Amino acid sequence: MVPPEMRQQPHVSFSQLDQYLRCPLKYRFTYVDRVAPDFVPAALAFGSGIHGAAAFFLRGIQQGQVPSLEDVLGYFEGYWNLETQHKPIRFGEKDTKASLLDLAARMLDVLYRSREPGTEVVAVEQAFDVPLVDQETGELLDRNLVGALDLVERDAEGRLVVVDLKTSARKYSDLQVEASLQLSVYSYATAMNGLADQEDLRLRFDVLTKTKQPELCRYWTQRDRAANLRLFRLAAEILHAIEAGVFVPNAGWQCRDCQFRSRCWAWK
Amino acid sequence: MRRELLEQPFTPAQIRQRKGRNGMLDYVEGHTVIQRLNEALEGEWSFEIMHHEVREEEVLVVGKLSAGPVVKMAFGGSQVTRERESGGVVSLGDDLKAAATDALKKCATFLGVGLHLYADKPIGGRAPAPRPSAAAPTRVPPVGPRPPVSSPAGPRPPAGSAVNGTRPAGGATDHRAPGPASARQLDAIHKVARAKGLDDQAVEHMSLRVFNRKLDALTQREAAGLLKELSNLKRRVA
Repeated sequence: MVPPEMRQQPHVSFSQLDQYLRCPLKYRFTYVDRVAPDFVPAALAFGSGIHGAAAFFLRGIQQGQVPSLEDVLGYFEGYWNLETQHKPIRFGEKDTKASLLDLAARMLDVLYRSREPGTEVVAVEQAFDVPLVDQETGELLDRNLVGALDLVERDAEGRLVVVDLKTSARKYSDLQVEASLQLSVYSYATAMNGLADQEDLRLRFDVLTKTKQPELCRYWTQRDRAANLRLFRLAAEILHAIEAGVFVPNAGWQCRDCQFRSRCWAWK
Repeated sequence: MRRELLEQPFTPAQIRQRKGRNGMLDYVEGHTVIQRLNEALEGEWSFEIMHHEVREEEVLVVGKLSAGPVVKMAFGGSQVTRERESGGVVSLGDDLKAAATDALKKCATFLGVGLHLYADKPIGGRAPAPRPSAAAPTRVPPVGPRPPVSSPAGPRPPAGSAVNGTRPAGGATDHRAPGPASARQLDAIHKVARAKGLDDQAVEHMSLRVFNRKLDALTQREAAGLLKELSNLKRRVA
C-alpha cells in the first residue's frame, strides 16, 4: 500500500498511466471528476482479496512466523465477506460469492505450496516515491513516481527479485511480460530507491490462474536503461495529454467490466 | 598542447571513489588520464620510470612525463599485495605497474589533469552562476534534440483538467533554462544520490568538481546535467 502522505503530493503512478492508456475517459471519471463508480466488478474485489491474503502470508514468512494455510484462507474469507456486504459488487454470469470463495481457496492453496526454497522475503508491499528523470537529458518530471512493490525477494544466489502477483483467467504471453509497463515502472523505481542496480535486478510476474485447477506461472524478465527512457517519455506525454484535457473514450474489451459505462454512453 | 582540455574537469561517470586514510577519496583511473593526455597532447608525450625501489610493504617509483619541452616528475607508490593465507607476494610486477600508474597520474596533475579533484573549493576563480530575476527570464537555444515536454506556448489545460485531482504545474522542469536550479531539482539530486550510495557531502563535492559551483548555486541546466549523471551511476555499496 502506498502511504497517504505519498498520495497527498502531486504524483504519477503506474495505475494512472495504465488507466489513461486503457481509456482516457475512464481516467477522467476516476482521477479528475472523482466520480463514485456504479458498482465494483467482482474480479477487482477478488483480486484485491487474493493480494491481501498473499501479503499476509508473505509477511508471516518475512517475520519468521509462517501462518497456516487455514489462517491465509481465513484472511481472504474475512476480507471477502466485508467487501461483499459493504460494496455494490457485480458478479459475472457464472460467478457467485460462494463460487469465488471456493476458487480463492484453491488458488491460495497453490500459492501457499509454491514457495521456492532458499528465497528470502526482503519486503512485502514496499512503497516507493522516486523522482522521474530522463536519463538522457536529466530532465525531471514535475511529479514523483509512486507505488508499491508486491514482493521483494532475494534468491538463493543473493540476487534481488521484484515480484508482482497477478490473478488472471489465463496464462500470460511472452509479449505481455516483455512489454509490461508495470515491470518497467518497478524496475526503474527499485533502482532509484537504491535497492539494486537495474542490471542486477530480476523481475517476475507470478500469475495465479483462475482456472478449475489453478496454477502459479512464473515469468522472468529484466529491464534496461532504454526501458527507463521510454517510461519517462510515456509518462511525460500522458501528463501532457492530461494537461491539454484530452479525455476520449476508448471502446474495447475493457468496457465489459467498466464501472462508468452509463456515464460513458452519455458522453458526447 | 591544449591546456583547456588538459584542465577540463572529469565527468562524474569518470570519477571513482575509494576509502583513503582521511575518508573517501575521489580519483580517476589510469586509462582515463592516458586518454586525456592523448587527446590534449595529440599523442606527443612519453612517460619513463627513472627509478624504482621495492620495500617490505610497498614499492616506489619515480616517473617522468615529457611533452615536448615540458617535463614533469613525480613519485608513485603502491602497497605490496600478499596472499591472505601464506603472506607470500602475489605479483611484484603488478605492484610496480600500479606504482607507475600512480606516478603518471601525479605527473599529469602538474599539467592540470584532474587538478579539480584535489580542490575543496572552486578553482580558477569562476564566478557563481548568474541568477536572473524571475521577472525577466531568458531562454537559451535548445541543447537537446527533443522539444521540451511542456512549453509556455503549448496548450493550456482547461479548467478542471487534473492529475491526482489537482491541476498540474506544467509537466516537467525545463532543464534547458539558464535560471537557478529549482528546489525540486535539488531535492531530486539528493534523493537519487542517496539511492546511489552517495551522502550529501559527496554530492556537494561532485557539484564542485564538475561545475565548479556549490550545489545551491547550480543553474537549471547544470542541475539537469548532474541529475543525468547521478541517475546513470551504479550504486556505490559500502
